[in-house]
Amino acid sequence: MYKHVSRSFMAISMAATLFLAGCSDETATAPKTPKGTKDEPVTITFWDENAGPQRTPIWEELIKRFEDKHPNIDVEYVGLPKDSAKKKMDAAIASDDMPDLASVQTSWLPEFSIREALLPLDDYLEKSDLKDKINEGAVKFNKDIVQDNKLYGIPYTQNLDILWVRPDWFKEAGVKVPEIWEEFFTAAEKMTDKSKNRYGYTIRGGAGGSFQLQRLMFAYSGLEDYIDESGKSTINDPKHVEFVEKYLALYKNFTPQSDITNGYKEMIAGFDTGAVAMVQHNIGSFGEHSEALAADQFQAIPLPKTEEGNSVAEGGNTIGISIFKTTKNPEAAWEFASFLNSAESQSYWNQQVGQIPTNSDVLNEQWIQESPHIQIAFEVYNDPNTVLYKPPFYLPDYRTILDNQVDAGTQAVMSGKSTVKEFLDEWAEAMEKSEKQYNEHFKK
Amino acid sequence: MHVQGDVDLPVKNPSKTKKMKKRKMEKWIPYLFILPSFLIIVSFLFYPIGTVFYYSLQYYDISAPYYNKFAGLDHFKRIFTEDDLFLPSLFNSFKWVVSQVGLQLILGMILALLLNQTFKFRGFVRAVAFIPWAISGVLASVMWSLMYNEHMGVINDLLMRMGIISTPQAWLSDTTTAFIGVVIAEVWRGIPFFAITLLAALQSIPEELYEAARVDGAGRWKSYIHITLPQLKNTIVLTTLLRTIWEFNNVDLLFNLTGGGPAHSTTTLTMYIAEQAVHGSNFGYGSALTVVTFGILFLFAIIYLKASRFEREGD
Repeated sequence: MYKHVSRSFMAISMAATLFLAGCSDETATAPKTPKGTKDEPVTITFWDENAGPQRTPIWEELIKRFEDKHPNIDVEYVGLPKDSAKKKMDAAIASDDMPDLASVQTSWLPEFSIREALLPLDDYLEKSDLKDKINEGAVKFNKDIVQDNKLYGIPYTQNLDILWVRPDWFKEAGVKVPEIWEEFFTAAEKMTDKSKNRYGYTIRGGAGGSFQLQRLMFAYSGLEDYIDESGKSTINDPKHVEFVEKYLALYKNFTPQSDITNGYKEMIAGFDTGAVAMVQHNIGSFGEHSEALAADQFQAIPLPKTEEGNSVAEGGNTIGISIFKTTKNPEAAWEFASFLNSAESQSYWNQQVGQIPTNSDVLNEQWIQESPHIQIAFEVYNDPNTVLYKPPFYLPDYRTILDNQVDAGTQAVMSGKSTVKEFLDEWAEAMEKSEKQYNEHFKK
Repeated sequence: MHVQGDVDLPVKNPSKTKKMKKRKMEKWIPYLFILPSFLIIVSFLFYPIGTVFYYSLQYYDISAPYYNKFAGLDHFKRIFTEDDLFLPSLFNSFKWVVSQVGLQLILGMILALLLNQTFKFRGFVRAVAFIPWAISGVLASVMWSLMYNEHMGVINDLLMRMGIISTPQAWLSDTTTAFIGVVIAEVWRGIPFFAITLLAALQSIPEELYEAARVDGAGRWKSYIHITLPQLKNTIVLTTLLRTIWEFNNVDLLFNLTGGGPAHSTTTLTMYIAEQAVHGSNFGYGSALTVVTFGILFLFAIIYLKASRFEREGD
């Protein structure tokens, strides 16, 4: 028996070694003879970080157009659902089994680049026709947030957090559409009519709620730093405490009770089914509202302004194309990446989704001039007084803190289990602890 | 895979050395037969379990590999001294398991006793009673989340029509009702398991025992206490043990109906592990929590089997 045990162990370890050897196909450096430029047929894999019935067909159409132009390059599309895309990419990087290129959210770039998963694209962009065409601010932001200040993602779309409101209800009730925070709180109260099963506002208390809360907190306070020079977080700043106290007091009084577990879908459904008058999201949900509601039943308005009269937006609200270091066909991958960022592709993608293109050639197109929600976004981004605050995307547990701790903390406040002050103190402490660990590791 | 104990097949050729060789071969043949299952168990059970123990001693976070290093017993120290969620989650697991196994056993027993009677359409009723067991967890959670829905749920509708509540409630969004809500859904799904196994056991109890009891003047209740229950003992011990372990590890309805919320009020230990390892990609800490859970279940199984003197009386 022992012999067999040892034999089977040997067999397993051999199999495992072969398996692992098969996985670790080291091709981190670009091959000497780049393929895919001329006739040799190559296949590249592209991962979409937000697959679904809305976006997948758009990518498929773009891939079809690309393959028609480049018959030798075959693009394989892999769609990842939004909620698990980051995890899948993490696992792919950890096991060294990455795609050739992917649609990557800007906030992931610092982490992916520290893990040496991405190919710097500075030289590629420099030599390409796209040079000077992609929004300078967005490109600069992408370089600023990574440690070595290189460009790891070419942004193809930009987004902005706004409020979606029901203009018809506001008109009917004779209430002013909010421009400052005070008006927002009044509107939430005035637009609530429980006898009609109508609420003034809906809070995202479930998955992703922390991101919403954070964006609104900074929009209220106008603070620019998330963590200051001395390593202290502004999350529990008195202004933020003041805001969260007012904001979460809306719960149940002027919002549905089920808000505490609301995810994205439930929140948007509340607005689209005519149960709430205002919802905070970004311009990207335009498509969903336009399917459910008539054109005069929904309207995009900027987030209310700070006391000083400034608009605030979270920096890095873009998505870009990144090429992974392990690609065997960097030239073909770049060919596809630059195709996706061409005026034609960006125009198609952004028009379908309802977001802002970054390629300057697209900005004068008619559909942009005719989309009020995109005009709003332009106004906010072009306003010199707009404050762009920078969340600490570089902290490896930035997202985990928000997902695991802050989401649950928000629910604890909403259900009366803890106070706003306690909640924000714990949140700030977690960020400060992570910042300290990061600094100790990288800046010794 | 089963291995037959008897491998001494008749040998045709009486040549001594050949015979010996064949004997020797035959001695190894059963092991050859169990080799595939042995390999599968080792590679898909022992190896992963081994890695869990290994990672429980490491800082291992796939989203921050540059912090990875040997952790020693740090994780365990954190679990027992610093972690504010470990004990509440363990307590939730305890509440979950006790309410699930208890309610499912009692209701399953009642159902089994009913189905063991003879009545019209018995076959049809039996089949219907087992439907919840055949429904997948995801489907069941979609059904229940619709039923509990604040705006369009059938439960609110019924209760309002009956005049029990005046405004619609968000059952799964309230820290006081969310847990009970999920418990009801899971009990509904788990009753048939007990009903099926208990019914099978009930049918194997010899009718003579009941006849003898009747002759001795025992009523229904007495025959139930003195015949049915003792005869069902082994089945009950085994099913409750299995169910305890399953329910302890069960996450599907919790995950889909409440996701552990609101404010961790439905986070069981298993949900907490999922949150740490799967959501937070902190596999080191998640593994340490798993090791602790493993220890708890292992201890429970030993104590439970000893205390219930499983099979001793049945032998």
